[in-house]
Amino acid sequence: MDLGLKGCKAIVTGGTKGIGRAIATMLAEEGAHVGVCARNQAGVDATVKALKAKGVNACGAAVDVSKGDQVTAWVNDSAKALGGIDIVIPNVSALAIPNTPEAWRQEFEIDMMHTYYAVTAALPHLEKSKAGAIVVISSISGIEIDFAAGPYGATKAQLIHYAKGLACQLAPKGIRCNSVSPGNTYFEGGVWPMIEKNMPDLFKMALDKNKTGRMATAEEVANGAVFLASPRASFITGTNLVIDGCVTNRVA
Amino acid sequence: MDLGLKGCKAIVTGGTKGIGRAIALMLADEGTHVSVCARTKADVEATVKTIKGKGVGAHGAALDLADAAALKTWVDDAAKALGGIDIVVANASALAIPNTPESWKREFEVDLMGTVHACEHALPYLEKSKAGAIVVISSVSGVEADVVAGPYGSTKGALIHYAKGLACRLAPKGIRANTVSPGTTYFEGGVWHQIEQNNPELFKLGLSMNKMGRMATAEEVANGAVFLASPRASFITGTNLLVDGALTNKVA
Repeated sequence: MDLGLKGCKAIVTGGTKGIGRAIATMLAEEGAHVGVCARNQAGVDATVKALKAKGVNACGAAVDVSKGDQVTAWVNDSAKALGGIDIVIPNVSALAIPNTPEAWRQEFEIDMMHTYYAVTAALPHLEKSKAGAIVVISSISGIEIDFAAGPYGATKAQLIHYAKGLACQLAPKGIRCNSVSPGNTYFEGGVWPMIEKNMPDLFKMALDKNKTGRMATAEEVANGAVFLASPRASFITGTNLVIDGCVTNRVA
Repeated sequence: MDLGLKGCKAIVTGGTKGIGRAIALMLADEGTHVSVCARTKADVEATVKTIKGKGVGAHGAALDLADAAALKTWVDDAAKALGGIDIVVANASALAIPNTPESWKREFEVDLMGTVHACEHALPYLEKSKAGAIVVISSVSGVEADVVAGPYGSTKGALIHYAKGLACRLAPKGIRANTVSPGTTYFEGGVWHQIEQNNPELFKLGLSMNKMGRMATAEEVANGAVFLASPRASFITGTNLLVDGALTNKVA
């Protein structure tokens, strides 16, 4: 299936690791030019190099996404470097789970507000695009109460709501917005191998809840995100695509 | 994006018109062998010919989905003709809207039991597949109460529930089940085309609910269904993909 992504310009926050990296890589494989940001300059440099090797334009910057002005500057720099923006994928999460004021604040400033700043700064560029699309990475913890209920779960729910609102507001302009809610996603250097090593009981509990007997790969989540970002999803806006191997039981 | 559908075998109910036909043809374009069923023999023959023209195996039968025996025979015949079944797309609907016992019965027999029989009877074949997937076509009317609440809407709601139950039940076997819920879909000879001609006021209302200012094409719905049916959606099971251009306002 030709997704129609060739020549599109996409930006991905947290695009150097895990789900974000898998999305950036897959977009480049489909011929999209890609800008990434992440905290670590070396990670950004390595990712930009790998993306360029796929024959597309790539750019990146080391950004502290808890700082709105840094996110805004990165979006505008990316638009300049790539020649516009068609696709925005806010993907970074603070992964802050304890029920403390600090964790609530981190979730708010990173998960919620970096998404807000990335989308808001990108909107003037998306309005000039013929394939404008936003894909917000949320989590199943935003739709069912699990061990991450509290700062993480509630903020992920806020992201799903924000994405639906954007979808409704931007539909008349032809800009689409969807969210992806992954279940447990296992990749090297990610949170689940860490939990596997340091909290084996929690890991076992989580794995047991996976009716498929395994967790998702980052690529399996990226498949859905990239499809939603593409012109093939031209009438899909305002949906929340759950990619969880049926971990959640809720209907519709 | 290579969806990995080459050589797969799929069956599609109501595969000669509208969304079902778009799905059948798109599957064939991806290299999948396809069997369709529908009520009108001439339509089945024409569609089988078109599918064969794409260089894949094709099969079809004329039947009414309310006839459980004929439906089961078609499933077995399709498996024989294609050499197995990897994908079941339960798409046909009675589109019975008035709040009468006749409509309730027709929705029950065609939409609900037609889907139940097709899925359950195909299970032994799906169990032998390495890419077993079920895609049930429901409707936004199953997730929000609208002008077709009653037999149509509540039966569509039941289908979403049934698909989620299948997803949970079949996850340990590696068989996936998802729902697609299209919004208003406009195609030549379809229900919205008819409404446009016969009830312009209702058409105007239907169109005005679309924040994108237009209705979906059958191909736009098929894009989502075919993606979910494909091995690229390997960890997506138990989800309900809205393809509605943000027609619905519900969150998550």
